[in-house]
Amino acid sequence: MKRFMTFAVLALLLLPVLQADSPPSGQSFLSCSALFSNSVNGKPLVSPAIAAYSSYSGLVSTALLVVAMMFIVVGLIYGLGIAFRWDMLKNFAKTEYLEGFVSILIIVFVAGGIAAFSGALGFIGGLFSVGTGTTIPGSFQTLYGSLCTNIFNKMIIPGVLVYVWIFINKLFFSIITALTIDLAPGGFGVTLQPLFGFGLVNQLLWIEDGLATFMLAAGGMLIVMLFVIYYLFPIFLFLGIALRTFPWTRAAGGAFIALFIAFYIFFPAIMYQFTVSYSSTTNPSSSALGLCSSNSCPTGIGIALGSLKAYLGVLTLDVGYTAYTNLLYFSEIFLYLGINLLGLLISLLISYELVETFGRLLGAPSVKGRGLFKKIFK
Amino acid sequence: MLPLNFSGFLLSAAACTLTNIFSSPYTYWFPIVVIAALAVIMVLILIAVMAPLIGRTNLITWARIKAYEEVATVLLAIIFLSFSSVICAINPVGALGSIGLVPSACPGSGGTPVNNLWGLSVCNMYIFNQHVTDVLLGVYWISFIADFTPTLSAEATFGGLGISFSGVSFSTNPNTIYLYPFFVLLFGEIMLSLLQVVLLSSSALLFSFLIGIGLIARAFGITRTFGNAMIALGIGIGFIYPLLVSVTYGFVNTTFSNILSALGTSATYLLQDLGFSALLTFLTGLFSSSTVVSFGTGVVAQVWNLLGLTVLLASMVGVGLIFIPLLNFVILDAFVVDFSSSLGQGMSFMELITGLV
Repeated sequence: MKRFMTFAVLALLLLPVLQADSPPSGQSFLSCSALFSNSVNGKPLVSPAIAAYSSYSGLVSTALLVVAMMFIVVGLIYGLGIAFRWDMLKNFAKTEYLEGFVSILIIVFVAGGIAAFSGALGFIGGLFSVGTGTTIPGSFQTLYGSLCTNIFNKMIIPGVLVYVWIFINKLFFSIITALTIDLAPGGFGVTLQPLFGFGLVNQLLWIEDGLATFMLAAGGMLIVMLFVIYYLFPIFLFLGIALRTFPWTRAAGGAFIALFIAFYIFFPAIMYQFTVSYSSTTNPSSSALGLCSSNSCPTGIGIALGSLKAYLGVLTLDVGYTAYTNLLYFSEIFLYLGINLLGLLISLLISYELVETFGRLLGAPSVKGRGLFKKIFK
Repeated sequence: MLPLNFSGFLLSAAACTLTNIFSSPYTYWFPIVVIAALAVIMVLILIAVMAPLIGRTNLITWARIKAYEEVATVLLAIIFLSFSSVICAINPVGALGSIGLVPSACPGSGGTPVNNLWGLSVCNMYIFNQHVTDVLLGVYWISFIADFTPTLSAEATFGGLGISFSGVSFSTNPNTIYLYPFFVLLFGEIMLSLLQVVLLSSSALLFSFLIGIGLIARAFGITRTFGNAMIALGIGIGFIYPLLVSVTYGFVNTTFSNILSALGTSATYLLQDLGFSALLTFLTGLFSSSTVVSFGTGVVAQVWNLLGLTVLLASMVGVGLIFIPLLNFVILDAFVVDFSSSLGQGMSFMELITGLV
């Protein structure tokens, strides 16, 4: 009851928002665009220096300086190798010269920056397009913001609405299953619970409650993960470049850069396609219930109408019809959960493989994503 | 909130001094490395001199190669001496603070001063653990309050005839069921977090100790591969891991503080929107739809912000407990494996840890 009242109050408060007006001056909503533009009520959520790429220009110059110093040291080592006729030193020096040039290439690539990354985004979007005709956003802030909005609209909002109406359904079926008819005048007779059989529907609702909670938790976890990746992983890129210049810390630097490329660029680009793929998908069960059109399912009114249909079974004492209708209706909601989870699984698998691939290319051949899970959970 | 005095955890306080026998490889162990290398070189010279006499001239080449390896060991010792001196001399608070990765409480205000990488990493981990206890307390109170479940019942019977329903509970038991595995996971991750504090507090000691052992072992041919493995482990646990913690947990802690600040701002705006002047404006403009909408939207925005920021705050703790340690250990494991392999003896840090567990 408490949760229902809370949601009812929130719903009433939301009514003015339906007119799409803006809050008083200086105030703003916490939204996906606010998360990734780092401003809520004019206050930053992450240190502005982290959010501003321009802060890293000092790190780039430092990395170039370190590479230059390494070239000098490597030259000295090569000279020592010639003086002592020591092939190991000469081979080491040659390898380090090549690695130094690779580091410079990485720095130049980063300095190319947004143009190069936007091209990468377009390329990845084309590779993993599922034929929706949508184009991937051209900047990372827009990409992350759009992905967050899609997840919010298609996992969080349906999850909350499902949660509210499951609660109402549970309350209704709890009351009717507890309904008792007393035919015991003077203490002798029988008592009947004619609608006790609808307890079966309550069991279904418990399961759906769990799925709705999982949907909310998964959506929330995904948004937080995107938030952390967006702000933390660029630091890894620049730290990786700096560490990669030293032969002793090259593996760590390579691992940093591999993580950046796989999770900052590829993961959201692939995930984005799955969050938009079903916006134009027609749901076969929608024709059975007559609730959804191809692009507008579900809505709050739609959910209410759908669950009311299930109540018709009560009038005819048809538990089977009620359970079937309930399952059929909520299956539409969990279709969104399934598609998003599938997208998340595929995105993570591809990203982990890319971490290992780029790690091998960048001097960290032993960086393992999935292998670590096996080591921890075996 | 516990006071910010984590000096009890900072075993590495003396790590950068030159006079501590357990933590300083420079004053005590470097001479041992040089003496050991010189002794081995003397033996190799003797072998090279004796080789023609016993008719084994190929031993001269072998002795020369081994002598060069001893020289490489001494060079490595000099390099690590320089590296350790630089690490001890540099205070990362300035560099990391310039990009907002140092919590405001860390540069020693009222607590233990932070003047090296190890101190900064321990400080970050300590502050994060305080945030975890704060969020845990909040979660406990929420679950406690949510567990008050009213029961509804009604009866319309007369003389034993009629209808009734009783004991319909607005139960939140499903939430308790869902919270149980969450708490198990949470407590498990808290233990991991505390383990990290212990590891970090001894990281400088391990840095000096393992590298010292490794350099000495490397001077002798029989124990060279063992020495290489110790050097890789020492750099991994003693330098890479504190650096990772300083960056990742610095990000988590500073973001946590910023979100708390944003929560305070939202609460202030909410009070302003519900304040007397706002209500007065609302009442006087009651028949103006724009006034109603503006009033309602401001209140809604700040209530929504409070809820969302609270969830984000708790999520940052979850990120620090689950996602960040995994990330750090992946990078650390890759470094230790590859670096030890490049020195001649591959070893896996994560296999060592999971084997122990």
